[in-house]
Amino acid sequence: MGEMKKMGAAPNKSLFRRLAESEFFHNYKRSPSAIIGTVIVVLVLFIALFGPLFAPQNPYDVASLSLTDSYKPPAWEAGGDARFIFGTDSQGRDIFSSLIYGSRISLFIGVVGTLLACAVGITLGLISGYFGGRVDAIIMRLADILLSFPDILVALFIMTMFGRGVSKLLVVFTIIGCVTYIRTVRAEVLTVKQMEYVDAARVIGIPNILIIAKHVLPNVMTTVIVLSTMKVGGLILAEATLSFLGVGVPVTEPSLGMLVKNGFDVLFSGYWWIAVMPGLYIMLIVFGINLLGDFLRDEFNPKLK
Amino acid sequence: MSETLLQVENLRTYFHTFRGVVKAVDGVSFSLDEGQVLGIVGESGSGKSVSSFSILKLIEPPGVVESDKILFQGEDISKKSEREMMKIRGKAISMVFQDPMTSLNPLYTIEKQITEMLDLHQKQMTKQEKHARCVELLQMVGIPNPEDRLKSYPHQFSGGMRQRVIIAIALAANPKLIIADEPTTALDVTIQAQILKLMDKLVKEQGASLILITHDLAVVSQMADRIIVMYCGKIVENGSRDDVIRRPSHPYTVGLLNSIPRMGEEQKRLESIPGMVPSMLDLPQGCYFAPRCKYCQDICRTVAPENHEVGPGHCAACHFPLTGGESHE
Amino acid sequence: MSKILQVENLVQEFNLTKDFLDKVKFKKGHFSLENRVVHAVNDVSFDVEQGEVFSLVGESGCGKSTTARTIIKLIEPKSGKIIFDGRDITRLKPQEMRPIRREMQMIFQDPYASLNPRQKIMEILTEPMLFHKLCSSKAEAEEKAIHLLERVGLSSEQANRYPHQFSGGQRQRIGIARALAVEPKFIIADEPVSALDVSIQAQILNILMDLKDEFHFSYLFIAHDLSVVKHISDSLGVMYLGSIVERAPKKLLFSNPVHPYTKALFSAAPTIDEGNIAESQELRGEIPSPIHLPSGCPFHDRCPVACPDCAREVPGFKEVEPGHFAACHLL
Repeated sequence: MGEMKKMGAAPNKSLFRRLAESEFFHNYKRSPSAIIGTVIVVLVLFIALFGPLFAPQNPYDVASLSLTDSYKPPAWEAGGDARFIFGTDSQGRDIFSSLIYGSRISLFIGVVGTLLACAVGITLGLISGYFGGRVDAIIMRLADILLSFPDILVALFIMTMFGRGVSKLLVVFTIIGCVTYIRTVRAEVLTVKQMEYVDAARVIGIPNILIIAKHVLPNVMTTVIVLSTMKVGGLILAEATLSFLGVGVPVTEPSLGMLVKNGFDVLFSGYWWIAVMPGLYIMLIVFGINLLGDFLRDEFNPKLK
Repeated sequence: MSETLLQVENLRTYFHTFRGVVKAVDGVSFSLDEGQVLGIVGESGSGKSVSSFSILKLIEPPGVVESDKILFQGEDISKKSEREMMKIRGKAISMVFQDPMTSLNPLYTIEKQITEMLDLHQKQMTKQEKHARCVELLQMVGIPNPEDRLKSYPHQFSGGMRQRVIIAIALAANPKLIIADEPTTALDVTIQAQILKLMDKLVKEQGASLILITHDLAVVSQMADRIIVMYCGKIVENGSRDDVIRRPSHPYTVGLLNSIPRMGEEQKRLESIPGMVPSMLDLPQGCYFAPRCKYCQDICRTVAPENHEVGPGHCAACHFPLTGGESHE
Repeated sequence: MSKILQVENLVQEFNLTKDFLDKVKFKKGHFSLENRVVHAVNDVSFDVEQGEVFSLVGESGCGKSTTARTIIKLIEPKSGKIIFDGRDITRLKPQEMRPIRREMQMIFQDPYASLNPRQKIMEILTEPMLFHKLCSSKAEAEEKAIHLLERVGLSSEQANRYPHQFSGGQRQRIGIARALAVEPKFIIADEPVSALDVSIQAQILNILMDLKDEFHFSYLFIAHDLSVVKHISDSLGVMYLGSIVERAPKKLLFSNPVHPYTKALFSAAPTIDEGNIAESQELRGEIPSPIHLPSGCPFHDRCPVACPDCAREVPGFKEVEPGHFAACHLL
């Protein structure tokens, strides 16, 4: 048996080194879309977090606004003002600054909404997949029902009952968003459940709750991560749509979608930048997230190897 | 006097992966006569399956196949294009794969799948002729009620039956050479016996040759005329069945033979080969088997062994091939 | 010598048509309700003496793995009795089974699925010890884990790695170490070497035999390869379609197999030094489906010596010599 000691797997390395030397990082370095996606996402996050520190103007500070600055076109157009790179809106608010502040709300809703949907979805998916039987049937029928509601209807319902606001919108997104998680997690759990290491845990005598927490959940997380990256993008778009239709965020908390709505009203008067700039920014954010999400999904898919 | 049907010289299949170059097949040369059964034996990672895929040019990137030449019926097929290879595959050389559960397309009937082979390679046959040939093939492989079963789908067959269908497909165009890659590994012992007997009979009836790839030395000892033993991409021993089984010359072959539990004897402990098969990305210097070999000497650790002839038509790639004393009866 | 395990008339079934809608079938122009049940284990009885290795051998679908999983209560038995170390555990609930689980453990077949890919080896080994509170501290458990690793031929540095960094044979050793962690009296080994290369199989079988000699536990060994079990077993049972067809101590079974299926199994197993394949005896037909069990003796439609009685009546066990039983009408 002594000779076995000389043979074996590679010596231990720190997590950072393992990551840096891994196949994942190797493929990452070679994927232009992944790098571009990361750059965009990091930039957007940076702007959202630290934007207010360097924004030329705080669009919510009424005192800093001046009506004489209203409807100025972007700086590169005739009539533009160098102070306002992307122009101003009807109140004289700098569009560029509005984008910074608006993205904070959009991203907040996107990220927190995803986290909430994820938490609820994972829990229900785990229970449904692991225990099966009647519990599974009930949860899946619930998911089917939830899936058949259009987002707008759910949003309208919640708004009517509980009023408008970011927190209500988060409830809407949790309800609608959790369904994908429930289904995907359940499917993964069904596979993991068949694995012999789950049997081994049961043979040791470990109760179901602990098995789910220690053996099933960690093996389901890769799918959850990939799903979540895509979902953030999806929720940002969903929020933009709902706000545009007037059933999203309240006027006092203008997300990017709300900015598009404000701009839409005057779009046909020729003041295109007020709607188009936030629209483009939404596109950029979601594009970056999708690039990154696509790369992660392909990397984590064992079948493509 | 049988002619040489297949001659492979210096076959090399290297996979250029992220972690390094995996030399799955590294300088393999062998030949096969008409009507012969050649057994290629090796454990996982030995390169036995990759060799046969390489001959038929079925290797995808990052794998690259090179060779000095591969002569099939006198022609060098290593230089052929994909189009030319498609004419050879199925017609002159056909293959039986390992997993009967996934080798058949679940969406098509058995008849459709056999006919597909005939459509490709026996274009001159009419529809009725093809149907008759399908029935004939199913009868040859021992499937009862062939007329009815032609209309069935793969999921309606058991593993053993599916493997018979696959053999039927492989034989449909009367190939000269059949390559069977672990054809019975996924089957039960009693079914395995049936399939092996069937293959043996059919190959002899057709006058075809068979390359049987397996990890099971016992199977190969019952079916093969010649045996090649592979380890880490290289051939370590090559000889007739009798030579390799009764007078094994390479320590690895001896180790393999000894680690098979024997039915007839009382053994307290099984002799096993110590250590593990090395990682293909980190092969040792010199002889690949040296770290596990009980006869290893200094030269084995530094210099790769040449092929030594230990008897007529019997060679071993070893610096100190064993002669006679170590075999068991 | 007392018995560590007594299995009496064990029956296990799987109902494929649990949902009402699955049962509804449309055949020959009208609807009917059909129950499709897989009769995996049909009235299986055997004993394992303390310190002994009992092997269940058979081809796929014979019910040997299902029997093992039922005995260890991964699935609840349909009927019958399981008596472990004198205690009837058949109807015990999960909480009641917990202390007993310390005494019976399992080694699994697939080395690539039996270890949680997200757990380090140290955690895999200490988990059972800590769960059953066999150690007073985590440090003590870790020390024990390292001893176990070394006992199965791996080194202590390897405890901090993940399963994917090990080969199939090494993972199987880890699985064995895990089973030993709670110091059980009885281990069920479910085809522990089937997925391994031949040369590694020999290593693992040797470890299993050495450990048994050192720790004095009993084994129930499941396998489909007769030659593998010959070395490790004291007694064997041959299974076909959910029933044991022959049962005997090793020497008697290998020197004098009497049941036609056992004989076919011996003949079909390829061995070195045997003659050519063209001369071996062949068993005709396919293994029937366990959903529609043949009437009478399960083997009668493939049996080379079947008689009319065989299709009508299920044969009982006859003692052909002391300790050697076979279920066949023709004995």
